[in-house]
Amino acid sequence: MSEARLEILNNIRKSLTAGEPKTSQRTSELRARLKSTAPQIQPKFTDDNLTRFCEKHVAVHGTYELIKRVDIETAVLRYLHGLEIDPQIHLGAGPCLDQVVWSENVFIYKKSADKNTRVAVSEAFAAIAETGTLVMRSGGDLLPSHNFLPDDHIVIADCERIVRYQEDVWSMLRKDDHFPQRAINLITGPSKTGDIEQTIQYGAHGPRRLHVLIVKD
Amino acid sequence: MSEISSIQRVEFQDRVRTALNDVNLQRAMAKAKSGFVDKRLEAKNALPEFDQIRDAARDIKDHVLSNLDTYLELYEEKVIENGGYVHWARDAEEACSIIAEICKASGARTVTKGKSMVSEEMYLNPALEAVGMEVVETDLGEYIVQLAGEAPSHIIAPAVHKTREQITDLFHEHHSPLGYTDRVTQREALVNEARSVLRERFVSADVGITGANFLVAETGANVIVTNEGNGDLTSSLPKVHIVTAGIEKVIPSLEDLSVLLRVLARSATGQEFSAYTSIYSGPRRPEDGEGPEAYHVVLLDNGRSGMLGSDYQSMLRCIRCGACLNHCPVYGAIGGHAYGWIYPGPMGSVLTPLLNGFDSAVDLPNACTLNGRCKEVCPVRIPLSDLLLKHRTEQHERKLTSATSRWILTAWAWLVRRPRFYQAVMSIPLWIMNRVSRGSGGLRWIPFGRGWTNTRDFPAPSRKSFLRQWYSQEKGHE
Repeated sequence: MSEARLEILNNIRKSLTAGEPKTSQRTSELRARLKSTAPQIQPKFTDDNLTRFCEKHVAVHGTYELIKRVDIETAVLRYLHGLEIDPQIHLGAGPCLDQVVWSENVFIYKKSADKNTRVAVSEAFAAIAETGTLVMRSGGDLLPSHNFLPDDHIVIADCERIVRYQEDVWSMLRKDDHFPQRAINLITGPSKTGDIEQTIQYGAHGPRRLHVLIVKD
Repeated sequence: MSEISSIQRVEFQDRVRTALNDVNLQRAMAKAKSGFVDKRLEAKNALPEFDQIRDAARDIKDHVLSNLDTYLELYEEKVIENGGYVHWARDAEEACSIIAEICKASGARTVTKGKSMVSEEMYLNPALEAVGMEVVETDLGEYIVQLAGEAPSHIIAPAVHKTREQITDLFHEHHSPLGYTDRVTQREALVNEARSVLRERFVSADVGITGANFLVAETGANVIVTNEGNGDLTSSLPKVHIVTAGIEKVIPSLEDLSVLLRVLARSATGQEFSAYTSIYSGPRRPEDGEGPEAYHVVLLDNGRSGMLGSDYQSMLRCIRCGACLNHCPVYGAIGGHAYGWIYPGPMGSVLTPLLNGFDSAVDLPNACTLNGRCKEVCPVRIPLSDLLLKHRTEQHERKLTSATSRWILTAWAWLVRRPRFYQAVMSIPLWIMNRVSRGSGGLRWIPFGRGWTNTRDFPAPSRKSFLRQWYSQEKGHE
């Protein structure tokens, strides 16, 4: 295996620099470039973060509701009731969700989702205004299976954590203790496919519906 | 492998003829026609900075390619730090045997796959089946072509050549034994049936294999961009996750990723952002509640290192968005399979001879009208039509083209370098064609031109050549 590694790297060097050995100076220059995290060119937009997030989220077939922190359970129950779905949820974690004291009206699973999971309720690490994207990360109680297996995914997003650009999320993730997290899932709308007659159908493999509860006190 | 190599043996022109006469293919392609093109244009127009971002994307890729050895080492360092393994494969065969070994060593029986063109390039599925693995493609389009026993015909829409009726038949045939005995024909019902069948596969697979749209050196992560979420279930549920990627896929940091993501989805499907963009690094951490126990990356060279430093280096910037296919009139007419290998359209016509040998695909660089739309829409500004011309020049120099065509080109080159003589010679066919058309403006027949005149008249040239008209106008102005 290491023989293949050596041969490939040597071939690259031969092609690039006619066999010149690589210098440690170049390596440290490139290491330095990796550490320089200034954003490059970003699309300009004038709307505030909340307005832009909601507009983009709706444009990709998502739904949302603005709620108070104390109303999370009520909002979840109302949404599920509207869809005539039993309030049995796979529950994630996060600063907002952890404060909720769930009543007996909700049946809670604290485990990975499986093939029969109907509903997961998660909290986003952050959200991106630019593209209407939710940012989920793995680690501890945060289970990526909740993002991809349920029919319905309800995501709590703290309005304070809606940032303008992707690059703002990268800086937040770098400050997180778990960085680099095993999984960072950027979610923009429900699952979909265009593989049959190039026509969009929702709910290909992941959630059929994506509902965001934006917490703003 | 068998169906692909047998496709390769049939002459390109036969494949084209078959494609043009294939009613289902033509119906499917007609339906797909302008969808991607219109949506891309809409997305481009909605982003004033689009061209500047394309420049930045090109510069990032160029920077990586000129430092590729170091970036690969930096990337490898991080993967290992995260607890993953990096394997290096010089060619397809080596890559397949590495992956087969990993599957066998983990006691696997079933493998789910996210969409990966590089795994198509290495003919991974038959190699894994040969060691007793059951391999299931999970991208809906890939799943459809797997059921049909075919290769994908488009790099991002693998089943674009299939009609709904064909998909109905395939599902009915393959899903009936699983208990889905109703014949479903509507799009929604077809998608739901596949969802339900594949769900069982996702949760029971031992190994998940995905590709990588990008490899990030900063964090040692692989990035996958999908709309279905199949790649994420493949990356997260099985106990082993294997990533396959060409060596050119590495990029420096997450900020560079942002630039590339802003052009990728827009160019591919006209979306601002795909439904799922996921960044995976290493196996589950000790504190994680779920995730694979092992994480492997297989880096494939397969001729790429030889393209560096050559006239074709810019082709390694390719981010596999498929925009050049969508905008190519030749691809639109013949579909992907006629190209004979897994990379079709303009990017395929450039890449296939470079990866498989110049003499393996002589016809491909010539199956192009040089209209230049591919070059115009490429998100990383690969001069695709120029590279196709370069291929033609190289074929001529290497004597890969027919003796007759080389002789004609040599005579032509001699002629056009002597302008006066050229004008004198060209005035003869001009005169004849004008006489024959008798002022009707069209010719029903020209020598060696039946391919044209079978379906339409050949326009008769104007009585005076362009140069003579030009000179007489110049005189008039004086």
